[in-house]
Amino acid sequence: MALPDYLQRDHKIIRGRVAYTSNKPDRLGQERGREVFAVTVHNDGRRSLIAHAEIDDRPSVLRFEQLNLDAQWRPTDAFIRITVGDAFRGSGWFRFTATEAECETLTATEGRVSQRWPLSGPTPMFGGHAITNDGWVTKLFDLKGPQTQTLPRFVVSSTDHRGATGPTISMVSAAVSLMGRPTITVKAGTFDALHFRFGEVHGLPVEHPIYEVWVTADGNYTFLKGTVGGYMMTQYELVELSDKL
Amino acid sequence: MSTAAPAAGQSILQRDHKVYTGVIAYISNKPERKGQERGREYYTLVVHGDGSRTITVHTEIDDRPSVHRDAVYSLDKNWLPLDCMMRLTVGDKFMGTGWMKFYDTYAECETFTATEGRVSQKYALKAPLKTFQNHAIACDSWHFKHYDIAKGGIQNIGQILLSSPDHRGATGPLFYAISMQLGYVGKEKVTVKAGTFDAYHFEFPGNKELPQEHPPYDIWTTADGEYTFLKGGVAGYMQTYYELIDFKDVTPPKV
Repeated sequence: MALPDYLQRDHKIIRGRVAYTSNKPDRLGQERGREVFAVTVHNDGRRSLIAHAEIDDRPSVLRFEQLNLDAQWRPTDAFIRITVGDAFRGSGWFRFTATEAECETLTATEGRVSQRWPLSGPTPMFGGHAITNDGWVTKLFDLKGPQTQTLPRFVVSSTDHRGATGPTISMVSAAVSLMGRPTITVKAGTFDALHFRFGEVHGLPVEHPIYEVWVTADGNYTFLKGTVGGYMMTQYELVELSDKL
Repeated sequence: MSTAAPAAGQSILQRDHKVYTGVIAYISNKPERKGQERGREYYTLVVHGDGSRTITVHTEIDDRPSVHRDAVYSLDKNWLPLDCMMRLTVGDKFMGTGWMKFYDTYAECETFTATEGRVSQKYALKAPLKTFQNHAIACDSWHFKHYDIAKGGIQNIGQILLSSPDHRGATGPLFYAISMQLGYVGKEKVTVKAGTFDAYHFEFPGNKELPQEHPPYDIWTTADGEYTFLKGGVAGYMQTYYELIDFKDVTPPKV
């Protein structure tokens, strides 16, 4: 049914929920966190993510992320607020131009900080540590290129593996391989997927274990499932997805 | 590293917080549009073990030009504002993004808007701010936490800051200062789509300090001390109605 002229619904909404579980033998399948998100896709292709994540593993990490991309999937601005151990850790706002990344932040350890980071071109992505955001990072992979690629450097809010420091500006890059284009079934449904493997991540103080990520192959790069090996032994799965406005 | 081994006898999991989700429907009360859906709001509220709280709220107003607002707003255990992030689109186009931080003697706003560009604001405060108006309906009811029901009558809770003087919050975000008047009508049992609740019926009796006077606004909140928005209606030229249609306690089980 056509909308009356006085209503404007030019956007689309994608909402979902990601379950965090453990793959450790003594905790196999145990729920260890969760993430709810909403993605707004505007008519011109710009998109916004708002995500709330909870990691229960002590000390708990609660994260509120808001991230905005332009029509070419380049970040324009973002916000991160985190608590660690149920106590305030940091709240910071990021803005990106072709020549600079800036961050206005207040953290429990660094206090009030204004960061300006010169860039030689727009940062191609922002990593705010929401698992949904991890799916978006795979958009940097050139599907027509070689099977293994080093992604261009991009801004992250924290170099901690759980994103539990800052938020402040750091830069990382990662070696990523396209492992296949399977059809996979998760609790949220069955999807045509892209399967990526994150190998070495450059720019972290501690090496990150291998991270397998499956995202939708529909161009939205919606996170479907993921597993991290090594000392983390974690699993992530999209358990709800809705695109009803 | 953020990981730490749990102390002896302590669970590896830490779930000290509570989590609630809610959905508020925006409806028209205009005679020619009576009952028509004109927007919606989805929120997730986290209440930490010490009583501090953060709400993540996504709002859509469909009335042309449409307004989309994402806000992440945090209060301390005394319900005083700590910080707020807001991002706005108007007519499906970028309007502004900003971060506001509140201290005892001043408030600061770092913002970038389509009309003003990059702005840093510092606003001196005579006393810590009691509340902040970010225009999410779910947060409108929180102002009444600072109303003294025993005293009754119209009460002025002093100077507050808004993210926008526009009635739909569709400018900025930038600070705008007004004083806030609050009124109390009574205690009622209220049924909305989300359930039946013991409620307080409050009112904003209109505000002439805005560039355009805001019509009177009635609000019903839960009477459990959480001041959860249940329903509300704005009179005058707006003729809008808001109702909590879904509310869930999604706190993970304690361990």
